[in-house]
Amino acid sequence: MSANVLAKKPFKKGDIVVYCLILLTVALLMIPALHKQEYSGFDVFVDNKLVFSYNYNDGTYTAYGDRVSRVSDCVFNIDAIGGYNRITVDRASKKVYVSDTDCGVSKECVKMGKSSVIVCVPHKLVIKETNNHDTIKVG
Amino acid sequence: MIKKFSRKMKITVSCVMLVVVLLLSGCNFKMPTYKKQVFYDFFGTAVLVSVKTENDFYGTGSKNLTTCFEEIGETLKSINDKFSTESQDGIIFALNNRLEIEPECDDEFISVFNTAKQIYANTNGLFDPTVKNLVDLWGFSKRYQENDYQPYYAFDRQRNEDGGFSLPDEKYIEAFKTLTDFNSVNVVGNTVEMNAPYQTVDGVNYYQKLDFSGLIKGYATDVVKAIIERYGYTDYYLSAGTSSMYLSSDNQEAIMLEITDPEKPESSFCRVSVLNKFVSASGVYENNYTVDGNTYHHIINPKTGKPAETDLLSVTLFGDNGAKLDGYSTAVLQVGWDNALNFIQALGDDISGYVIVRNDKKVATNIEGAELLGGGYEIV
Repeated sequence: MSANVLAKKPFKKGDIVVYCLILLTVALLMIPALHKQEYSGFDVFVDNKLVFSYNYNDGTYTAYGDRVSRVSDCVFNIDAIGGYNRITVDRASKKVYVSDTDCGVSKECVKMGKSSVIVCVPHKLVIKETNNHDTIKVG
Repeated sequence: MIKKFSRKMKITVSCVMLVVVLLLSGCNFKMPTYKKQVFYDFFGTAVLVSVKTENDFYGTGSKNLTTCFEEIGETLKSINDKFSTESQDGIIFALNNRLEIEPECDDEFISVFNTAKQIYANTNGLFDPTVKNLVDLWGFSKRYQENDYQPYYAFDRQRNEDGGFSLPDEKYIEAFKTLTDFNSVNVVGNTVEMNAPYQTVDGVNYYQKLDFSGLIKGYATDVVKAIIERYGYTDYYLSAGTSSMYLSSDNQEAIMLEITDPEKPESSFCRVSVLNKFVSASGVYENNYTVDGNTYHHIINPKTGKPAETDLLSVTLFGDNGAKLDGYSTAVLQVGWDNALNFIQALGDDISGYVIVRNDKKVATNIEGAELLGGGYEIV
């Protein structure tokens, strides 16, 4: 009798499965929360493809493919569709802007200044900041 | 006994798990914000729609957001096609090119037309959708923006090395001024009648033309705002280029609006936090050229047929109707510093806020907390 009792486990297999499922669910729910944006930087897309990522915090960057070349410490040249966009990084204010381009006479992307999102329609270029707060430029 | 032990264990484990979950919620546990941003290429500019939500990370919510953006894209395309001067299937194109077919106006066209009439009346004709011939004459329509622009019409001039043009011939200014008269355009039944007689210059006939580009981006923001809110989103912004936008959030610090420095357009001179309002801006600092030391900008006074003479560099207006704001900002810019505030007041509730910049860097605003960002500007 006592041997039988000792052989019995305090949890049945089913209980453990249920507990595991609950823990897994909680963990899954937490993933996005833990993933909360501490990162502060921007991504550059050309024709919907990521070509460049920059981290304001430590000044590190990643260039994907061969569309990006470094001009100076904080200036990068993007070889976009049909022309170039030169971007300048202002690490102090954690902002980026298009400082030069050959996209047309109006150069709207330059006028967008240090917006959270900068678009150059003729060159199919998009720069998106990865911060929680948005800055929009009007005018 | 073992049964009791087992039950105790289960209760303990369950309690521990409950405490963990409660602790997480006590730590202000929040689902992360999901931001979806889509760009559309309409109205000759980038239309950006950005929606933030905490509910759409998974499953049906995500589908809801996708459907919302699809509807926005389809709607923007429809508006663009209908009102573009270049879309060959559009009403405006058919009217301006005197195509044989008589285009029929739908309810949306008539609604926009009537809004344009209202703005025209309220601004004493300073906003006039028939100013297109003059805008083209002075070199400010879209075809001049192309890198490969070449003169085509008799009144066209070659682009100068500095990017500008020589001044247009007076005979064209006079002729096109006559064609600029929105009073002579009316919707009768479901067709548009354009009654200004054509003008002949050097044997070529020139006809009245209609162009709603002065309000259509604002109108598009009106429509897109309605779509987004119908889907239940409250934290978003949308901009049609840099001149027409709407910002919506419950969090006062979530979106900061910076206003372009007229003397250094790549920079900003003022920061405001104005939410749940349409914003429209007009300025003389962009799209201009200089001849003999005089600057000629793209805002044409319909009455003089020439770039408006004004001491204002830029006007930014806030209100509850995007289309009207678009038209009004163009008009306010033309009346100048001394008349601007009275003019705005006369427009009534359509304008709730303003930031106006004079050419001596004096700034007039009624926006609480407007913060200057340097550059020598001064709020008076």
